[in-house]
Amino acid sequence: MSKEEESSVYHVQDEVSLLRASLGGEVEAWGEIVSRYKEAILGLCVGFLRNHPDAEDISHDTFIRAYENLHRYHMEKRFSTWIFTIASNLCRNRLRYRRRHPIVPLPVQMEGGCSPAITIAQEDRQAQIRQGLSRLSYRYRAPITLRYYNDLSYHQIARILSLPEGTIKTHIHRGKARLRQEIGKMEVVNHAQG
Amino acid sequence: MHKDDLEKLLRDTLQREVSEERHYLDGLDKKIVAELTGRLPRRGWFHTLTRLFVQMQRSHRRQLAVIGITAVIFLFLGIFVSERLPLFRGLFSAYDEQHTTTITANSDGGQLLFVMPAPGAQTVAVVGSFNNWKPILLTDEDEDGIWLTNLSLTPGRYEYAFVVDGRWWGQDPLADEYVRSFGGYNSVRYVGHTGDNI
Amino acid sequence: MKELAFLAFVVCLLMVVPTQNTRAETTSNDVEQELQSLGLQSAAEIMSAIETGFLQGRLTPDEMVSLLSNLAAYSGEREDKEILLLTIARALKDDSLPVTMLIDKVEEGLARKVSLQTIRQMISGRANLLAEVRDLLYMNLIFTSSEYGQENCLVLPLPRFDFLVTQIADTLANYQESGRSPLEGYLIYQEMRTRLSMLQQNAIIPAEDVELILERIKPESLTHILSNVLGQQQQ
Repeated sequence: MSKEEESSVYHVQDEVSLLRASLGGEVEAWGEIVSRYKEAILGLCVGFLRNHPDAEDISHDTFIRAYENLHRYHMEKRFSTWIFTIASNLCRNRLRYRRRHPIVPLPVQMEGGCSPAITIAQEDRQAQIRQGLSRLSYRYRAPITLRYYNDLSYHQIARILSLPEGTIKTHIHRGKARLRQEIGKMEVVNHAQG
Repeated sequence: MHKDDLEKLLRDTLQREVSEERHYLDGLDKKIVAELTGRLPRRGWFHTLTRLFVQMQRSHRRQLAVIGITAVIFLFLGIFVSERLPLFRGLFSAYDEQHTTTITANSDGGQLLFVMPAPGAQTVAVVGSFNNWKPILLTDEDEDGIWLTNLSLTPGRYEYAFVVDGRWWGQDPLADEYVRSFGGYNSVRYVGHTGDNI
Repeated sequence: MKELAFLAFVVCLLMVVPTQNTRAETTSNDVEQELQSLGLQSAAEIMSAIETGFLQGRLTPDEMVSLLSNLAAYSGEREDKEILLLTIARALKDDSLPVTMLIDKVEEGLARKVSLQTIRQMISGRANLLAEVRDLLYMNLIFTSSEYGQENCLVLPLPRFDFLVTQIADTLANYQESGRSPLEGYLIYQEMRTRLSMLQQNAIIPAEDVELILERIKPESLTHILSNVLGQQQQ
């Protein structure tokens, strides 16, 4: 079987079969898992870290570490929660490392916004959200990302971040309130400058 | 801003940020596969051994044989390493000494005897992590200069010191170990479950 | 017969009830009162962290009352006391770390009549170590949530996880405070192994926790942690 044929075989397989095949040493099956989860993991990392090079790094490490530790994963559990837990812990570590080895953040800029569907106002709003998220502390940013980007339930978020469900709800609520505050401030400044 | 607007905006913004990384995402699965394929040979003997264990579930005899052979190999390796290499020899003997100390520690289940020879002292107390470092007085009823008290402690590892007329003594001969703390010493005793460390 | 049984029940009740009432339990209110008496600016933040600690079972009102009353009675600047408490509060709430070791060190420092600045230096170093060790366990896929891998001890209940983090961090701190080199990974590992073995031999921790740590944590990681913490202290 050619490589293309092999990957197309994996393409139609369900997650559990892919994980079993990966455990058996079939790296191509793991490749299919990566392609199914890469956007979710990268989004999580971007949301948590607010730094694209680090997010790319951690997404890559997540898939490598998850593969190396796949024998510790229990098939009856939800795979997404398991791999999100790994990614979120690696992000936490990177943030801690960044506290000691800070880098200058790049100014927020939008790329590729030439679609007519995206209006200038939307662009501005999204830029404000990006800035606002970067100013938000990790404890609010992390659950907000998992909730609104990864579409996870409070229960799953609580599992991933090792916090009680009530705390997660509070953090999301407060995080959004702070985000609104930040955006409000930015609007006042823009208005004054404009 | 309306509640739903913010949530939608959050979702759209993060999705957009991810879509800006398309160049990175496109090649990620292939990159991971290539990296893992390149690594595979390094798994070597462990991977083979794991595979053998998985396969042996089919044959009971083969299972026994593999376990036996592996045990013998490890036994010989262990003897070889511990006998030949001075570094490891030191390691095992240090470990054994500490093991002995624990077994002979003067503790009876949760009861721990604290003894401090201090002839002529006015007050002798023991302070430690078992009581938020508040002094517990020792007594010398027969006035032979040996002060003692018996404390009932829950299982755990406790750091402590004696305070003799206001002066700290951190090195109790009955301790399991000593640690440095705030420029001085603390003694350490391990209290096991009843009967574990008599 | 029934009357006799009822009488016996009442007698028993009378014997039990007074003993329970006489044991006045320390409550969260007592802790708050002690904290107020210190007159700190960040009392609200500290109290909120302490309450989180109570909820998580990481703190008890008794130990907090003891700490706060000892601090109140200790001579020294109010700001120094506030920073001490804030270090503990933030380790507990922001970093979600076990803080028993930090509280114990403050109590010991106060009993030894050490300056508040010295105690502060020691506990901030130890708080860093706790965070590094906790992250090291995470990196080695030892977690606290209860959903995964109970069979191979990948996931531990919070008290067991906290105990391991505390014991390893304390071993590293003792090693560091005795002035030895952070680069001797093998020696640090040996210290950790000795500590865990002693705890196991005394049935204080289960053997599988010790095996888990010794199997997954390597000497070079411990060197890395101590070098990091040393770097943070020198900054």
